[in-house]
Amino acid sequence: MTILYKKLARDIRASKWQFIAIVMLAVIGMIFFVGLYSSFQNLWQSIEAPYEALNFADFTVKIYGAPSSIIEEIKRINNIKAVEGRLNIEVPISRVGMENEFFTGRVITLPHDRRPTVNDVQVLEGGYFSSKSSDEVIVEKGFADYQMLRLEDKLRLVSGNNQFEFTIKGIAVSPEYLWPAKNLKDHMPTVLRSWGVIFLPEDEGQNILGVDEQINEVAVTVVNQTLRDDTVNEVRNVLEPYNVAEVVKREDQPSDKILHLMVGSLDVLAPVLSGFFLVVAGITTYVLLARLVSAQNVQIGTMRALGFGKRPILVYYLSFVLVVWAISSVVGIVLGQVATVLLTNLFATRISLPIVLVYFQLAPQAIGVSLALVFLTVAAIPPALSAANLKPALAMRPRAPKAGRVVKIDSVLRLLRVKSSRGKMLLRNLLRSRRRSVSTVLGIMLATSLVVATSSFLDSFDHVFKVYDNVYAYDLQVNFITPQSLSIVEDASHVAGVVTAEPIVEIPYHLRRDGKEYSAIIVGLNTNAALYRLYNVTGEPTNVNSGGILLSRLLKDKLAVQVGDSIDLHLFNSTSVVEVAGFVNTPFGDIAFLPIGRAQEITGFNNTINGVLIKTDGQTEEAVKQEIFTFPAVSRITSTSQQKQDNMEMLKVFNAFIWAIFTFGILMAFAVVFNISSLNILERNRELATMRTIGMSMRKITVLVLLENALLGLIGIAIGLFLGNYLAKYFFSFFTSDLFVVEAVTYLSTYILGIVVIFVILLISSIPALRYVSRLNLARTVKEQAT
Amino acid sequence: MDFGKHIIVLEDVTKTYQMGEVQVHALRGADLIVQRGDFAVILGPSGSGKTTLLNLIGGIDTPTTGNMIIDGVKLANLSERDLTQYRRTKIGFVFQFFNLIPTLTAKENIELAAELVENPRDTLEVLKQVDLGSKADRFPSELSGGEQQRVSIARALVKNPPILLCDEPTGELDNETGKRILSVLRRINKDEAKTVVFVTHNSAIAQMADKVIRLKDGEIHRIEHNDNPIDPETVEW
Repeated sequence: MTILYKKLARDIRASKWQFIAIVMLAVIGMIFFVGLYSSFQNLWQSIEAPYEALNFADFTVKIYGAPSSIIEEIKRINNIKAVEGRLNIEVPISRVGMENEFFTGRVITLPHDRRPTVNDVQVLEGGYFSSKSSDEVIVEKGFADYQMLRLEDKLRLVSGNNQFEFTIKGIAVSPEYLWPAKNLKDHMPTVLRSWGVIFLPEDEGQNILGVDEQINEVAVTVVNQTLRDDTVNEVRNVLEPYNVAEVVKREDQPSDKILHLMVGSLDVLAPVLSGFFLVVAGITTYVLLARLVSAQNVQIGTMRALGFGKRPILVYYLSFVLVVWAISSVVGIVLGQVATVLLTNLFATRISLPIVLVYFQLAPQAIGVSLALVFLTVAAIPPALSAANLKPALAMRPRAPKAGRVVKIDSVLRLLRVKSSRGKMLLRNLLRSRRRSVSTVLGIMLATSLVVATSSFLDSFDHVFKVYDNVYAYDLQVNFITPQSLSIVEDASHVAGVVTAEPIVEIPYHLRRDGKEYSAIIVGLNTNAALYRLYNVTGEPTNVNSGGILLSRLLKDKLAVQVGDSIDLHLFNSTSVVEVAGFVNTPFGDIAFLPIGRAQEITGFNNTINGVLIKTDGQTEEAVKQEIFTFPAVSRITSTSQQKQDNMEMLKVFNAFIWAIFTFGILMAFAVVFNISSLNILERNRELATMRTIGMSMRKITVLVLLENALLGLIGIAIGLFLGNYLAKYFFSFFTSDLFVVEAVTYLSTYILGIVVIFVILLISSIPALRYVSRLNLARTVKEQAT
Repeated sequence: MDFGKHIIVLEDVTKTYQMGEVQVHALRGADLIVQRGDFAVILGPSGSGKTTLLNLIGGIDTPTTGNMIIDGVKLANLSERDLTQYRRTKIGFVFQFFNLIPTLTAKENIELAAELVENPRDTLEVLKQVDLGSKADRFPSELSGGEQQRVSIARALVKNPPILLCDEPTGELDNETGKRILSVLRRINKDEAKTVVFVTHNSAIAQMADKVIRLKDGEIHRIEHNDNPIDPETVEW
């Protein structure tokens, strides 16, 4: 069989560009699978390591305040592994020397004289609290990095009328803040611009709050996870007398939830994207191999006549894809590993991971290689079988033209009034070789859909920001630590540079229906709110004037509700029933809107608000911000433009990934179209040489071939545009999460791009084949039988 | 029936097949006996069934009805695997269009066939036998038509089969080159006692045959025995 393999090697060399194109397709599929899936595993291991080492809480119970001694009682509950009581408060903080710039500091207390048994911190720089000093603070790494805080920097904390100064003793990683999420709404890394986590010794925390031996949060780890929910209930019962505000299980903890969504999307995208690319590789392999078999009919017949059995022929053509598989596996594993390192680090840059673990993940490599083998083999089996089953005599006999098609196309020709022989030839050629036409249309369709689908990624993220601009018409959002009277809106509107100000109530709530419960932010707005604009699911402006609740589309799907249905809003011990008035498009997922009066009534704000939206004249935003900071109880001022800019920066992480998909999409489109269009020409070298022999110029032949490809291309492009749009929607269904909604959008420019790119590729990929035809030895080509 | 002497025996063989929308009766009731060592020429115009008859003998096509016994092997009801084995050991094909594998050199084309049998002849020796010893490493595209056909003959010979089936092997060649091919085949027929079945529409070639089978419209019209076949070099057309 050695000679047969020599033939295989030379056949591959003879069609090296087509072969390289298929290898490239398979390699891209492998890179996506190995890169995404290995990154997912690396990141997950990198996240789980600090969880494990720092005893990340299995659940946390927030209370209004309880004596520290309650912890001893909780420790006695069955299944409790460890428990820590602490204070968790938010206060304005500033850097000493930069007192005009305030942040909201989330102050979490830690034991002074020992390390916490739950939610410990890993000090990366400096050290833990020394037992004697009382002015020490440990800053969470993400916050320190974002604000460029260094050891020995001094921070000033404001509590009521008192100010306290602390020196940064350490910079640490916390398992609760690997992703810098303030809550489920404020989860962009840019939240660190105005908010951050600091750790204080517990007696210092009590000191600034003016309390003694008090805690407002209990963090717990359990022995047996299967019994956790029972343990939660028992802890809740113990703490019930102190007003349980919220129980946060680990899977609902904002940082963990976002990490799950971010990293988990890799887990989903790995098989989906690579599967798609491998399907394209498979289809292209099928087309190439089927046409190779068709072109080698005589060779197959000869080999069979010489005495080759079916099996060697079958193995021969399967070997073709085995070679593709072997090469693409080696290249795919190497490049997949490179992609793994790049992707893992790309994602890890946004997560405060103390150590990023980058392993050679065997399972993704093995699965990727196996998947490629399955896709390629499945694609190769039909043509290889058809080759093996060819009857030798039939294989060497010229094919008889099939009746009927000429008649059918001729009626079309008459209809189109095509009279020139070249015109007739052009249109008849479309139906002459059904396999060639169908595979061309199929290939172009796939290529177009690749370009459109991958370009839609860019469109969709651009669209997110357009929605952002449409919804958030305010420049600043002011939040208060304690509810304020409505007069503060009036006060804000009188600040120089403020064009208009509107009240807002924002509070996290639990939405319940049919036994299901979801956390969401309830937003109360004026019925004529102009600074926070709402749009229904069809994009029409709407507002909260009906008295019912408007739910985001994501909440609609989660709660499975229709307009007119009732849902329960639950917080602490109170539950209110509201009617669903409609659904709105928002960039963030779990959010619902009520008229402000109804929101105040439900939340017990009683004519007070906890936020103000401000539209400035655009020139004095910074001055307005400084002025508003002098208002009482301001906890945070968020700038919409800054937030948008920061969010865009964050999306740069995705952008690199999306551009990689887009580039690979274009490369694959090129590989598919190149393969098919060049084969279209090379298969017909005898026919084209004959045309040259009878005097047709190479220019006319070129026009004829290009028109033929273009006509088939038009059909493929038309279907491909629809398919691309569908694929984009399918891919984006994986991007929409509890926290973030990305709607699949395809701009007109993307469709135009798809059309232009495919036609350009068609043109470019025809050039080498046409040059080959122009250099053919006419005498030899027209004489020899196709082999 | 003496199967030691009669290497090819056909009894009432017919072949019908579909070609596009048309049913073609390629061969009707063919009875034929070819003696071992004969140089038999199947003669007839285009479409008379010559290639069909050759393909049936070669086991690359199966008859619709009738019996065929070739070198003692009864072809009827042979499995695909047995037919392959039959072609491998009993038959050497020489095609009109040479059918060489374009990506293999002359020597490799022959080795491809040699690898199929247990005791093949030496590749270079058969190449020398067809006077191509010096062109072993040339690809088909680097050989003339006559040279390609001689490679094709060498490829048939390397398996050392008892029967050579030649389908218009001179059809693509000029007069002089054609004669050279005829001489090579006749020499092999004489020197190695190979049975050669030679399909042609060229009646001049019939003069060098031991037996001439004339076909017309899918029927064996006449079988002639030639007691004085002429030297291939003297055939003129």
